[in-house]
Amino acid sequence: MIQEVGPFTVAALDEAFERAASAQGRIERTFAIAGAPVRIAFAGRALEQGLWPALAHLEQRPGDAPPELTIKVLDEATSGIPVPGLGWTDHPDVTSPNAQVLLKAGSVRGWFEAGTGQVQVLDAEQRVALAAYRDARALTFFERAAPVRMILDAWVRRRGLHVVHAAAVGTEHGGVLIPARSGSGKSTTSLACVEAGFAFVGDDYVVLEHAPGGVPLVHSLYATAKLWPENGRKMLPGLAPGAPPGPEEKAVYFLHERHRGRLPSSLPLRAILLPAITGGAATRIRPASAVTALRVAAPSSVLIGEGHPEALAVLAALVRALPSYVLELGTDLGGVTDAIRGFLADLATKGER
Amino acid sequence: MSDKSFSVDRARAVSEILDGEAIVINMETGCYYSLANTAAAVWRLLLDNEGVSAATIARALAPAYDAPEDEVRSGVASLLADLEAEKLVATGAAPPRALSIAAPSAKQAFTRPVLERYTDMQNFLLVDPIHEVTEKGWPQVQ
Repeated sequence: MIQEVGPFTVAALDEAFERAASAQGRIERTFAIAGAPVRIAFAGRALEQGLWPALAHLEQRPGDAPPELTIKVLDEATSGIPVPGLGWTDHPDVTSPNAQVLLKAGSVRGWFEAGTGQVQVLDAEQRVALAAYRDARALTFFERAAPVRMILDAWVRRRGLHVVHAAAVGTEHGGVLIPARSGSGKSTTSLACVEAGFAFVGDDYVVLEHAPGGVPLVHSLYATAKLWPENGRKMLPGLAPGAPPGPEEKAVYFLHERHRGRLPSSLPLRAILLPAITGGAATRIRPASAVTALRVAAPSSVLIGEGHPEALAVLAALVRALPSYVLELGTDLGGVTDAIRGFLADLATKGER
Repeated sequence: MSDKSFSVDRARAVSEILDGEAIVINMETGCYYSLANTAAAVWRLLLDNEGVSAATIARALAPAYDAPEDEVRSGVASLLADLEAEKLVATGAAPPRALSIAAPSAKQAFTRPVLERYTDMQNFLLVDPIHEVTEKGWPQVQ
């Protein structure tokens, strides 16, 4: 049953999408997250160009089975179709332009951002979601790096999986999870690794699957990474971001074309690495306690968005299952990637004994 | 000595205990905490028992430590005051009770329990409170 979510009735958004798609054309793509097919339909090419690149590495040919979720995406400016509710600024709790309002009505959830004027709605029971933007040509860097994140995050959780705020990269020996705060070197590390030929699963958000007693798996959401421009210029001068970042914006690196073949949809996890910038030239990897790993990994995954207290127990189980290490980052990036590559090979050798 | 009883505020605080250390996250404020050693033992007792007083906790823990019960109680009371200030525990009136925990094999040195607090996640709370649709409906769209 379609329900109202704030001023955004799902039916009204759906109708606006159909009108926008009639006006501009409908471009459909199918991709899979943790093996489940999702169809995304863009009203107009501008939206597809802005939002598809982060997901393109997960593309699949549409199969015989219907998608488990259909996401319809539209904007006002390029379609000329007004989206009901995007101008909703009157809410007393919206105290800053970046504030997100979480809306719930039965099984329907919505997320509204007043400042940028965007809304995402998920009706998990009906397997349909809608994302509406003010202008397809003015998408935020955040949205281009992690499109329809609120929808995918909520949908993944409903499937019993967990979204973790971490990077994940790997070699033929498996993957490492790199949970960390902004500024700890996580993104520089994950970008340096994929540039050095590692497999890349994610930089900021990844999906964790960990059955009790099983090997933890990490699944990919987005093939993007974000760096502050000065760090990008300093640490990876040969690499160009997808678009010049605006003031106060991180540079977004799109990996799907440059690193085709190195963007697997999943990797088994072998260890947790906690990055720390030391200032020295050389990189060192040394054991860390499980509780230290939990203290680093849990808060951002638990507190993000509307809050996910259940993530603490999931991460506690993960740090009990996998060994944790501090990755003392040297300034020589070649040394960083060599150290991680060697570390994964050593772990695999020890595991075989 | 206060007769206040303390219970973990489970609506606000989530925690895990790993290798004798508790990680606690306050879902409302975004602060998170580490409690090690004696502090973790106190937190464990609070998790396992609703409505306990400082005196009750101290009496249960003191046999494990090489320190007079007074000293243990003072440390426990101080930790409980910190936990209350951080809204990780709720308070009420204490019914008289005793807790029994397993007798320790050997006494450890007593270190005053400490609540370590981290605040770097506070600006992570991006989302305004959850709004449920009511019959009256929503504010009008501009």
